[in-house]
Amino acid sequence: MSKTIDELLEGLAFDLLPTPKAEKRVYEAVVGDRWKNPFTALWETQEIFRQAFAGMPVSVCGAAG
Amino acid sequence: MKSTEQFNGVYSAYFGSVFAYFCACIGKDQAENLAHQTFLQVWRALKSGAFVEPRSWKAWVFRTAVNVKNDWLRKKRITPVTVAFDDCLDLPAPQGCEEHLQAIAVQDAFSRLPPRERELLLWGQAGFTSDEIADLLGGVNASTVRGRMAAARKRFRAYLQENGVVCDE
Repeated sequence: MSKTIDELLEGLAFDLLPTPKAEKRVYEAVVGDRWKNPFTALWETQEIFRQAFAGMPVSVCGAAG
Repeated sequence: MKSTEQFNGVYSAYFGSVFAYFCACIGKDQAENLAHQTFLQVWRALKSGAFVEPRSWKAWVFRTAVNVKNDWLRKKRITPVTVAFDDCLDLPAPQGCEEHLQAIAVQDAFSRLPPRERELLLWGQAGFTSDEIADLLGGVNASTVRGRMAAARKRFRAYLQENGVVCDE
């Protein structure tokens, strides 16, 4: 199945995206602070919750028994 | 603190498309440097006490990027005619042979367009309206932009066909 011009341009724009290293490098050079990728930040938040609830009974999560 | 949060939001949302814009118009070797200059200006503007929140963040960031590009071209006394995409793109590992070949054909067709037309097509792809593009270019109106956009799409389609890529409208 053939694609539309917009779909081809979308794929092209995706290929032009910077590497995470370039993203990190520029951010840190501008701001002077560590760049935290939003996905990393999300993962870290989940990890904090996982650790916080690690010792709690299973019933806290809604599962009986 | 608010300005840092604003900057992080703007950076997350637009760094990729600004970098892609410089890649397509100037080339990959300068894209990081120019994206750096653009976001440095964004950072300084947000940190200055007199900053007024723009109606459209996207248009404001890209206007900054266009100014950075024009300044750079003026300083270097360069009129970009073409950018070699071989130097511009790191192709991802091929998923399937056919898709990979098509990606190369699309990139080749795009690289043969004048930089002005590449710019228009990328802005169109990024969701800018004709009015917003006219504002970015300065000195042209929306109907002129629509005419140029149609010409760019026509030329791109012709180059795609030459490369054996059939596409729908």
